[in-house]
Order: sequence, then C-alpha cells, then structure tokens
Amino acid sequence: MRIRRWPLLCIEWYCVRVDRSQLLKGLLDIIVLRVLETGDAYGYEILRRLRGSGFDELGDASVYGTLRRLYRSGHLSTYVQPSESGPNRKYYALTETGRKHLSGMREAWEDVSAKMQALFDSPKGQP
Amino acid sequence: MTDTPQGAADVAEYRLAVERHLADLPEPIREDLLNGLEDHLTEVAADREPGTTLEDLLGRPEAYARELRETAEIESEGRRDGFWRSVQAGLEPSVTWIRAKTEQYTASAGVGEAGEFRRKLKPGWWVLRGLAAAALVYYLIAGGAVLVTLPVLSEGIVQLLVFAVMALPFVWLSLRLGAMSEQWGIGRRRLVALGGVVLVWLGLLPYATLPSLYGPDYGQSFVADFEDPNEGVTNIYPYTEDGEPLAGVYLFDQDGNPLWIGDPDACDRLHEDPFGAEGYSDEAVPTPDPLEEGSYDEAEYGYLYPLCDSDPWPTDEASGLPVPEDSGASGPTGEQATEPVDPGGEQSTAPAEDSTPSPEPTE
Repeated sequence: MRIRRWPLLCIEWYCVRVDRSQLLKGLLDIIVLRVLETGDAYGYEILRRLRGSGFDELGDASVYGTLRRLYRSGHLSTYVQPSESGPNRKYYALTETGRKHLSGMREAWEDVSAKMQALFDSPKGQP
Repeated sequence: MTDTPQGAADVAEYRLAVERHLADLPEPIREDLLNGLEDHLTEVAADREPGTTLEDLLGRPEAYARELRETAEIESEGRRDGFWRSVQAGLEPSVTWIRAKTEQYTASAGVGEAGEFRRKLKPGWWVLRGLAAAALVYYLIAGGAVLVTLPVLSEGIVQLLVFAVMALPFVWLSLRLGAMSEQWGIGRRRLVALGGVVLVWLGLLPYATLPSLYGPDYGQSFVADFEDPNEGVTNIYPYTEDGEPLAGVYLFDQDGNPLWIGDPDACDRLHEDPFGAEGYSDEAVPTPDPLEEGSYDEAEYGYLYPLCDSDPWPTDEASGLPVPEDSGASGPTGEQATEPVDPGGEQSTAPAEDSTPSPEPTE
C-alpha cells in the first residue's frame, strides 16, 4: 500500500525514512485536521491515532506544535475534560474555520496527488 | 503518574530542557508553545507505562525541541521579514560559536552542560536577589539613623546578625518567587529577572556610597579618593610676604580642620614624623597643646609642612613667588627668597607668633 502511494520512497530503506519525514512536515496541518474531523482528541491521543494509521515517523513534538499553530490560527478550539487515569486533559476540536481550511486543503491535496500519480504513471514522465 | 512529586519533577525538568533549546523562536510562538507544553507533557506522562520515562516516550529534549521548532517555524518563516531574517542569519554563526564555547567551558570545568549549570545556579541568584532586597530595605530604614548606628554596629558582629535576621524573610520570598516563576511564561520570567537585576543594583548601590555617611573623617577620605581638589600637590612650601621661607607649618581650613595635602610616603626623605610630634615645636599652634602628656593627636593638626626633608625649595622662576619691588624697604631680596633652604636647618625656625595662623578648631 505504501509502495503504491510513495513509489519513489521505496528505493532504499533509509531514504524512505528521511523523505517521508520531510514530506509529512508539509502535510501536518491536513493530517491533524483530518484526525480531528473524525472526533475530538487530546494531544497524545492524536499521535496514537496517527501511529495506528501508519504515520510512525511523526513525533509528539510535531503533533503538539501543529496543534498549537492551528489553535492560534483559529482552526481549532480547546476544552478541558477530567480523566479517570490522571490529570485533566485538553481536548482539541475543529472550528468552522478549521473545517473550511481542511476542505480547501483536501481539494488541493487531491488535485496535486492526482497530478503526481499521473506523472508517475506516465512512461516517460509526460503527463 | 504525574500525581507523584517525582513525576511532576520529571515533567518540569523535561520542559525546562526543551525551553532552553527554543530561545531563538519568536516570542509569541515560544510563549504559546511553552505555556501549554507542561500540560501536554503531563498528559503524555499519565499515559506512559510504569517504569518508563518521558525520554523513553518522546526522545531527548533537544530532539523534541528541534522538532517543535521546525513545526512552529513553518508559520514564523512566512511572517519574518527579509531584514530580520538576514540579521538572524548573519548572527547565527556567532551565536552557534558562543554556544559551543560555553558548552566546552562548562564541560571542561566538570559541571556538565551550560544550560544545566545555569539551572543549578538559579537558587544562588535567588538568594542574592533576596539579600539585595533586604539590604535596600535595611538602608532605607536605617538611612536616617545611619550616622548614629553604623559606626557603632560596624565595630562588631551585631550589625551582621541584625541584617541576617532581617534578610531571612526577604530571601524566603525571593526563593518562593523563583520557584513559582519557573511555571510562568518566558515573558513574565524575563520581567522578574530584569526586576532582580535592578533590585541587586539598587540594593548594593547605597552601600557603595555609604562611607560618606559614616562621619566627617570617612567622608573626607571618601571624597578625597574621587575629587581631591589638591590632586597632584605633593608638598607645600609656605613663604611670608617678604619671600621668607616658612617651615614647620600646619594648615587648617575655615572650620579649623587640618588640610591633608601631599603624601609623606611620596617623599624621598621624610622627617622623623610628618605630623611634627618630634621634629618641630608646636608653639605656632596655641590650643590645644598637641604634646600634652604625650597624647599628640595627629589628626587634629595634620601634616607639618614642608613634608619632605630633602626636596629643594622652589625658586621664584619655577614658583612665581612674589619678589619685593624694593629690596631695601620690604624685606629680603629675590636672591634670598629663591635660595634653597634646608627645612631642618637654622632658617626653618617657626615664624613669629603674630604672623602665624591661629585657627580655633571647632572640636
């Protein structure tokens, strides 16, 4: 599955790690917003969901930094809920602005992705 | 997990380590990241397995900070204008070099990382800040009575004990403030640090100038150190209006205090006693008798001039001494006035009583 989505990244194992990490940095916003579209979550829970989806390269700092940046931009809101297993947790939720932002980014991504796929599928690199 | 003090300490320590590596981020972004970071780390720590540390889960703090910075700078790079970006880029090699050298310096001294060492020094700074606050208050309270109390108290350990007792609550408050400010944002902590610097400066400033309040003697010596009106004068050669050299002279100001001009130590050859206790008669100084019962008070009359035994007396060409217009009527000739005189010799007799200043010391 990964090979189909990231064909170039599977030439060498170590190249995969590095390139995926750099690619993912540009996609952090859409990744985090998409996770929160499926349901509110606190910081570490978002990371766990992402790891469950195969984004092993993403670190907690990347997720936390992205959450704070999206919050400052008004794409996210927060609320605190008590936890049974420990201290209160700060949950992040998508705002209306965030939903619009995600929608726009998703369209852009699908457009770019389709064009990239066509580019790679073309025998001589011609679209 | 973070219910335990150890868990909370781990979180605080990890946060501090991350913060140290985010110093170059724009203020609003760093503030926002750090304000929420401790809560976030607490959540992470609550989800960790027993026996694992935050580093096990999140990696080393510097790597965490690097990742955090990269994420935050996606936005900040766009906002920063070209000028500041170029300034930062220009300074970056120097900053990196300074950081590396600082790390080497502390590591070679055996105290570990510079940031860690700075953190260990913080309580010391807090204590100093508290002492400065106490010193300032002490000065403000005792300022009015300082002329009376300090000369007495400074003689013993009493002053130190009084100050130590008084300083205890101030040091406690400073320590408390320092511990609390660890949880605050970088902006507030910088404000507290700036206040501390000002406080230390103000707290120590009064004591730097305090000697001038101790009394006339302290004041004179203190002022003389900084604004001596006779700076550069090493000796005094008194003459009468006739050009007759005078030796064995005391000098007083309008209040009857001795004028301390010159430095006996600078003489090539000094009288046996620069105060004249042995070498000169004190007939010129009528009251009180300086030699009474051998209790000569040197501070009461000052030096006896000329100070040095071997210096030649200045000539009229060098000194501009008054030369009588008519040598027959008004006294000695210019030759007499300019001839070097041995202060210890025959010519160094004290002048007539009616020609000698007769100050009446106020004390």
